[in-house]
Amino acid sequence: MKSFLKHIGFIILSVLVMLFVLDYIYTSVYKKSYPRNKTQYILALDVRDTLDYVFLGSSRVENTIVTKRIEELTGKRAINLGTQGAKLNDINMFLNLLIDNKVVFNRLFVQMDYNFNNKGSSDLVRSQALPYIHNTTSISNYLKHNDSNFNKYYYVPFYKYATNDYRIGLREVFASAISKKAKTNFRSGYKPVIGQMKPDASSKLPLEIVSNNIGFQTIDSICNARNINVTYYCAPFCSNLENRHYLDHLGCKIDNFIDFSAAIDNDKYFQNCSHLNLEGAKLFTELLIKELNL
Amino acid sequence: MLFNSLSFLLFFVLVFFLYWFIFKNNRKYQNCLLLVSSYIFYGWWDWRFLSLIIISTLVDFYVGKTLGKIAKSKQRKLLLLLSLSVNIGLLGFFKYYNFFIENWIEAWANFGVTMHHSTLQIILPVGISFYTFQTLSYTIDVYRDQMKPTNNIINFGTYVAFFPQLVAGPIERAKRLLPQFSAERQFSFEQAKSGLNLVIWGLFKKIVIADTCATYVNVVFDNYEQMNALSLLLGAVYFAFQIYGDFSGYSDIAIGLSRMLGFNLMRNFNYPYFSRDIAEFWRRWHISLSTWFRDYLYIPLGGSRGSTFNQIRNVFVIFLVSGFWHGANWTFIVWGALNALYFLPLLLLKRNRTNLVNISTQSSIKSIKTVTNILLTFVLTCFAWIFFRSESVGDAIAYLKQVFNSSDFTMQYLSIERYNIEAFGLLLIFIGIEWFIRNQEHPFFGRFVKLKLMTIILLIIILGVYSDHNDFIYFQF
Repeated sequence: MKSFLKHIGFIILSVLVMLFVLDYIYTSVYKKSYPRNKTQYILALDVRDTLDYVFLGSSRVENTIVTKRIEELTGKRAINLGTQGAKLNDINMFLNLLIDNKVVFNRLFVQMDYNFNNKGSSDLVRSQALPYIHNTTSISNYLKHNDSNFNKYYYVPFYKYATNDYRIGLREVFASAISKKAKTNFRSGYKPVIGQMKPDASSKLPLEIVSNNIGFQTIDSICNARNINVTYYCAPFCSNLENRHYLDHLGCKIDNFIDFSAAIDNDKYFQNCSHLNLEGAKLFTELLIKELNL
Repeated sequence: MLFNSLSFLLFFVLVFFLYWFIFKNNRKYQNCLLLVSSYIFYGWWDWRFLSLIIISTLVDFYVGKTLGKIAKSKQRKLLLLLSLSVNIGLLGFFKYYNFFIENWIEAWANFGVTMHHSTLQIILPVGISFYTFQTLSYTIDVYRDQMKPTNNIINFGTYVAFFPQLVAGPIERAKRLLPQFSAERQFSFEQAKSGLNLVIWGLFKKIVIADTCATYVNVVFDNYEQMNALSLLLGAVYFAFQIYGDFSGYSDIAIGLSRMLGFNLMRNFNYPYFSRDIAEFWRRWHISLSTWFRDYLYIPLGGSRGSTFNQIRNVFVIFLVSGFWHGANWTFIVWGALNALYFLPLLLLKRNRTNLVNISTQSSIKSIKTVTNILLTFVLTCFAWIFFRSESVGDAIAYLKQVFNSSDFTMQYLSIERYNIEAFGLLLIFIGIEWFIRNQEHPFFGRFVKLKLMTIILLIIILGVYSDHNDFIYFQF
């Protein structure tokens, strides 16, 4: 039995060493690698990066704001930091990272629609933030408040990489280590979607609006405290949108809210009811430039 | 409680400690501990189903005991019938009730007769097919006077519910496992170490091979209409390795855990994908079930003796029943029928026992033939697996049609943000390892054992799929 316990002890010790070493290697690779997602890109920005316009939100920003078009028409530098599935708590974290890194920007645009009713955070953003859990206070705070597994991620070596293997596991760490470029150009951040929506496609806004959203309140108070010029806006939806009255309620709750939900009335510009296609995105970006005097 | 979960790890550590340290010198207490922990292990899923195990245990214990006392043939037959009725009755009700009702109604609907549809919301108790067969083997062996009945209800209860192999086998015979509960148990370092090695190898097969393949298989089979020919072919290959890694991985863990507790279970898989014909495949795949059917169904029916008609009938019976054992769906029956069709030519040409010795290859023409036969057998197996994995026979046929209709053999980018071909590299490495260790039960032998062990543990950590916790496939049977 003594020999067996020694054998088990050797295996346990080896596993622990492996977990610590792997955690160190993975984290080091992510810290030093070329950005492969928007969280990494924001972390790589610094005081030298002066931006005119910053757009934050979900895929309804990522697939909608053609920043290159803004630069062509206005000569101003704009960045699209919209991320698929991002909720207001994720947007809050992105904003904090921009501030932490002393990135200078003149105006901020935040997508505001049904996301006002959504609590929590995006799985994708949380996963992508995990490698920086020990090094970045804003990320650590964000994960502490948004992930029930925070303590395991924080204290158990390699747990974060093992349980998020799909997004930050071996495959991704390898791609980062060899500096494999991401498909998205993060300097602009726009990710086009192509094709047209089905004629009968529709989308539904919530029937009721929640009384408040902590993520929104935090973003708004940060912007007020730091005199950030922030505009909350709703990007276009297709003609088959149900419960449009929700946006009126949203307008009552948020002072500087602009509703563009019906700005594009031809459904041929939509890839699905909530997302504009490439042509629609260009059209909406031009409209935004004109309406907001960018 | 799954073998690949933290709760099971803690459970087993506790059982191991109590078993070897607290109850070390008392076999009776050790068996009681195993029985209680087996019931806790099973009750973890759904405590209500414990009653089914207890019913089966009590019925077969008392039937066995009574069989030991009486000699009259008629009374013995009645007792055997009682055991068969209770066990197969429970299995039939929980596993096949809805299937029979639905097919009965559909059959009458073909003649224009409409019947009321009244299926029940029945949950299939985990492992019922396994422990039912295990307990039946005891009654049948006692009935045949091939073993003496036990008078120890604790030992018998533990034999039926022994937690390492309770929910997915190997299906142990009473003749082999039951006496081990009465035998003296001494801790053996070599046995425990070999058990632990087997557990690690089983975890590798499950978490790295099966669960990686599952990611691809689910995408391919769930969206087969959008897949090209190469993706569909690879989907079948991936499933072949998913089910092999999953089930043989489970069996390895079960055998390994049992060894750590001082028990020897039978081998359940012997590198089946290196089989040179389908008969050999069935001697290497799910051995405990194949031999169960052989001993309790095939041989009593006459086996390969008698007229050609009887031989063909027996082959079809055993494969169709084997298919149906896997689940209440026509897909499993078709899978069984296909295997029967594959087996038939070998039987009729009397070549079903040609490949009894281990595979050896040299640089010769004979080796090319061996490899060709292995590949051909694998292709046939994969073809049958398509039916096994599909939701319905219609889906399986549509899948196959899509293979032939699509002439696109390009590498396809899947919705899981991976290229279809990526898992293939991992499989090739796995096949290579298995080929070199095909005469051993795991890779931890010879030189550099510790290095090999550490490498496999490292691969489990970095290549394992932990984000999508997958149950063992055979739990559903």
